[in-house]
Amino acid sequence: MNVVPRPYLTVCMLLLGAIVLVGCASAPKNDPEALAEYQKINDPMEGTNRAIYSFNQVLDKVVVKPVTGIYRGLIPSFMRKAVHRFLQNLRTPITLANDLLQGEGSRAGDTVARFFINSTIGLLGFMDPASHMGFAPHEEDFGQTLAVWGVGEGPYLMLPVFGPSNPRDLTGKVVGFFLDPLNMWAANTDRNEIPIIRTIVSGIDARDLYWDALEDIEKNSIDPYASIRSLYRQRRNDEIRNGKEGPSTSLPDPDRGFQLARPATTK
Amino acid sequence: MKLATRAIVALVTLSTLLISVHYASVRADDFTDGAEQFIVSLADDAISSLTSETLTEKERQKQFRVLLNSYFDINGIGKWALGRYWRKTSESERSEYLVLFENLIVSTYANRFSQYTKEKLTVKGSSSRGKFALVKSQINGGKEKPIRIEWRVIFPDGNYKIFDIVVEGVSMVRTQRSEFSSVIRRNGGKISVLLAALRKKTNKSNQK
Repeated sequence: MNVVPRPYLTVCMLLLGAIVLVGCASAPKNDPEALAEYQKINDPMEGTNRAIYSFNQVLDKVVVKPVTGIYRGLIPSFMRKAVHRFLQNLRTPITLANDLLQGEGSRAGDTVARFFINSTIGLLGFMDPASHMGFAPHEEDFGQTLAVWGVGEGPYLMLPVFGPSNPRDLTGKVVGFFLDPLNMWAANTDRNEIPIIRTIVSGIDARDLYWDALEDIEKNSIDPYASIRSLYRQRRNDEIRNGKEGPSTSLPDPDRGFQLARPATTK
Repeated sequence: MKLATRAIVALVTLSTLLISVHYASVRADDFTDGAEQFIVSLADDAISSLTSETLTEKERQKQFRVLLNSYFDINGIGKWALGRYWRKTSESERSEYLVLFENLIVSTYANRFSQYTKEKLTVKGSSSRGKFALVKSQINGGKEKPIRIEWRVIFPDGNYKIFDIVVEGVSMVRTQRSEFSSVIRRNGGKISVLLAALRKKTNKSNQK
């Protein structure tokens, strides 16, 4: 019985190695503003992270993007959407577990209803009739649950191959991988190719989904690494709040630090 | 006698308090209702001036610039995006930066609208928080899951101006700021490097 597929172990070891090797860049000591900025960016391993990002960029250019390009060229959009829905349906147990762990009863109900509707009349999840019956799709993972339980994100991490993350979300990802019923079954029956194929197809699906966004960043950003870091955090926080406003939804202050527009006359 | 005076004072205080509370709530409603109207008119204007298929890229950029200047607090956004470095910037660098920033926004966003022809923006309500009216809306992309968009509107000089757009929880202004501050920070706190990068970026897209 081989519970842990070797490629994942290797990736984990490499990552751990990289983190231990580099340690932390030093924080600015004399300038309180610079220190505040440094803490807000929360990326003490920025040097390593940027190196990994460059590696990922090369990997994307040489392998991931061309493969995804072929996928986009051969498979029409409605079929790619069906693949995405199928993969999402496979994630149901993880989403459900996390709905429950977060105490989101009605969302858990939606998840169950979606699974039964879409797995049957939705043709194994390739179609999404549940949406039309008022059960909107959503996804949850263990990283989000940890956040709801009050675990901080920790320093920003750029993972090789998998992209932006942090210790909290990485933990969630690993836990989610091993607790996934399909992966567990595959591991217990020596079908290691199943989680590997699933991960590769999910990767291509994700790259396809982010195709336009990444083109946009490449074309318009003057520091894509910093943009992605900011986008990742903001999106994650929104997912954690399930799209609702919360105490962490801070507003920019237009008047801070310089003279600008007067405050609105109404309160 | 004393008690009566106190009662009268209390009553007067209470009634003025009630009146001002009522007054405030009415004004807040006016503020947010106006902001909703403002966003609806922006959406109408944007559809009529940007989404025509016969527009060339140059024309679309020109139209977008007009919209940008009338609906957005573009200089305020530019200043905020520079963050703490604004104060460390000379007058001439500031004016160049603001020009470049506007060009960047035009070249980044104008052409996105060429794809948004079939989608409809629906305003879903609003609230006020601090200086902001927050107008919630969504874009329905056909049968897809709708995209949530929040407009953060201020009222600086008797006119509504958009200060930020938040798409699915991602603030455009905040993202821009983190990008700029990263460029400056990694180049020894010098804004000249950011200006050079902006010049390069906006030249490239203007030549096309």
